[in-house]
Amino acid sequence: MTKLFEARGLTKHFVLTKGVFRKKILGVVKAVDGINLEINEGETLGLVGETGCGKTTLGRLLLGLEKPTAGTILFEGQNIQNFTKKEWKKFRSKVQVVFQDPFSSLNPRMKVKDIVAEPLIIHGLARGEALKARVRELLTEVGLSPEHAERFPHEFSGGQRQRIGVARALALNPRLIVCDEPVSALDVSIQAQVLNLLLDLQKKFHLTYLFISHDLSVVKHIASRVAVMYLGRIVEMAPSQGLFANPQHPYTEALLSSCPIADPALKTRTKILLTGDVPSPLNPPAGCHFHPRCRYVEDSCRQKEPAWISVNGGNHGALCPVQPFAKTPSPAAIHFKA
Amino acid sequence: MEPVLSVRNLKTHFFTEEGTVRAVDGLSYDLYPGQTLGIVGESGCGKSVHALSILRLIPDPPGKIVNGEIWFKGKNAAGPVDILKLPGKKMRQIRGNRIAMIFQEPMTSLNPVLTVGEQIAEVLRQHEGAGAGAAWQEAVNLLDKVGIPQAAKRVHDYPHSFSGGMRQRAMIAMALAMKPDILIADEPTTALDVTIQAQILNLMREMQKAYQMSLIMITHNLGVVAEICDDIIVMYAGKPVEKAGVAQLFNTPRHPYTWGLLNSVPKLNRQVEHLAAIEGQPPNLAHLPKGCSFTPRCPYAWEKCRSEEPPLEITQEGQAASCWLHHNEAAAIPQENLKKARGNKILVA
Ligand SMILES: Nc1ncnc2c1ncn2[C@@H]1O[C@H](COP(=O)(O)OP(=O)(O)OP(=O)(O)O)[C@@H](O)[C@H]1O
Ligand SMILES: Nc1ncnc2c1ncn2[C@@H]1O[C@H](COP(=O)(O)OP(=O)(O)O)[C@@H](O)[C@H]1O
Ligand code: SF4
Ligand SMILES: [Mg+2]
Ligand SMILES: [Mg+2]
Repeated sequence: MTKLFEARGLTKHFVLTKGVFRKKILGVVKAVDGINLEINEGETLGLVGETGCGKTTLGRLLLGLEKPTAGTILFEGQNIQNFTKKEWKKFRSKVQVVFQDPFSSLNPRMKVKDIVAEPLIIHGLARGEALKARVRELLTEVGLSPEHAERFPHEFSGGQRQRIGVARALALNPRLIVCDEPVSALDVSIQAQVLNLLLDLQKKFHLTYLFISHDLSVVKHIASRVAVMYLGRIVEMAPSQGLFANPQHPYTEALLSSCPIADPALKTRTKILLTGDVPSPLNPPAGCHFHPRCRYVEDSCRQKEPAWISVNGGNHGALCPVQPFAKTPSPAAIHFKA
Repeated sequence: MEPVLSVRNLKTHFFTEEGTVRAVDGLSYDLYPGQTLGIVGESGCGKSVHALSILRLIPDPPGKIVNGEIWFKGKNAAGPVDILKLPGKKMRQIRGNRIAMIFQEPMTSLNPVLTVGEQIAEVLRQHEGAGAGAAWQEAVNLLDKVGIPQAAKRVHDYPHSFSGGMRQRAMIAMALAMKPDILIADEPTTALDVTIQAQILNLMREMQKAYQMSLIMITHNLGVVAEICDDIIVMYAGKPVEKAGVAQLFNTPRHPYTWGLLNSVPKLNRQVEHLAAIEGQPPNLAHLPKGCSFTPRCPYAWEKCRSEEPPLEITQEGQAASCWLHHNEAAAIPQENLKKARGNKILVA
């Protein structure tokens, strides 16, 4: 297995200030707070977590769109902070992104053919007839027809616009695509079309995906490995099957348990309901960020930074020394047999 | 038992430049005391317009309820009244008092310049005739009941300082202050995180039990449907295409669209290789195809479907679908389509 990305101690803090001249520091948003992570060639790493937990920020850090406060990112073994201008350009062609909102992510004044061709022109990869042919090919690849090239984004439905976004992301033959909530804004009947497209393209072009979503069923369907985020940290990471069948972190357990299941026979299953709101990432709780909502909380959780514990040769890990790998399957697990 | 609400052939249309938008086009159902009815469908299929029609809150122009009756019988009322024929004053009494509604985005229905406590107390004063002190105390009680921590303190806060989940709880508290006969919840958890969604659903279930309310749950989330609804109406392009009990809907879907919805969403408790996506896109309600609205996306469609609209046909007790597949003799279904429908268990062999 080749590691495409490797992040060590990756951190992004946003300092919130007030006032123009004498800035007063209101607080620090620890959007990404010391994350270690690997993305392997050909896999789909699912990233789940509730709103504001830092998923998009983590994605942007990996794409090089955001400068880390601390930590390193290796891409194909090379530290991206040390890239030369030329290396940056090459990197930019190898990692692409598809956004959540198909309505605001495409320039409304550009024709579809220009939207898809733009990266090819910027990187000087094709022009003239070859460019036109490549655009036609890309549109066909994502299930649109070449005639669509002459139209503007507003003439398309949400699902079709997402296809245009995917065609553009594919233009440079990328190694990895960060999909940030690519189906969340779509109608239920359209989500499946886009998910199927992403899976087909992955097979065909040996793509690697970082798939960000708050929808657990979507992630379970598409990801080979899953990372669960809570307030800037990855609290659990495992192969998809292991995570859903055997969640270890108390937060993962509650998250799975909270998720409504489309089967009335399971209506009366035991659920672990969390109390309280998602705390703000602005000055998160000390110690384990999850401790105010955790049903297994111990004194040490309130002060000490939690440790990462793993089993199966490091395959399945969780950021909590209290519960993980110490108990029989949790009540949340039993309904999630792969 | 008498229904608390009987909707009969409701049609609400919008007269726009693009043409007539048939947002709701022939919806009928009965809602019983204590029942939870789910209204399911994709965005734009008429779920919210149906709810606003019940409350007579359709903006006119461009909208108009062009047909139908909505019979409402409150707990202590002598007999049912047709909401659509009530004078404005009577309607306002029902709206704020007997039928309550909560919206997807609670901020739009909370008043930003009043504290949460003032808003709930106001409802109590109007509907219960409570005195100022008693109303305030009851507001605190209600906020506490819906799970707002430190309710006595938070009751002084303005809505903007509440999180999304807390606002939704405040909305529920306010709705409950009226002790309504019917609570209409329009996508009440769509904007919320799942751990908060689970809390809110749990709360609604408990409150419903405690107050013997009827609940109309509008959602596109099949998980939410399975968790909370007794009966379901699936809407497509302004029309009910299937009506079923919750177990029937999930175990024996009878309309191709329902089948498509169930099989196109990934399931948490089951892994499939490939999702059976519904092809095409939801139709434009101003330019509906002739015959069955689902024809352009339906894998079973044949000439009959393209020429004539299928009526609702009862397929078993408690379940009905509007699809020509269930009108065997009358519709002369081609063998091939018949075989395919049986293969997918939309038709029993
Ligand atoms: N440029 C910025 N300045 C200040 N704070 C920021 C900035 N970008 C993100 N944040 C904060 O960092 C935290 C994480 O944000 P992020 O967008 O990564 O969350 P997310 O997990 O993608 O959430 P969602 O599911 O809502 O998309 C949030 O509290 C957010 O408000
Ligand atoms: N004020 C309005 N003017 C014109 N069309 C409207 C108006 N409100 C709703 N519609 C149309 O009615 C249809 C149904 O809308 P709605 O009931 O809100 O759908 P949903 O099922 O998503 O709640 C849509 O086609 C919508 O565009
Ligand atoms: S009536 Fe015809 S087109 Fe409509 S759902 Fe049934 S089979 Fe499909
Ligand atoms: Mg995000
Ligand atoms: Mg709506």
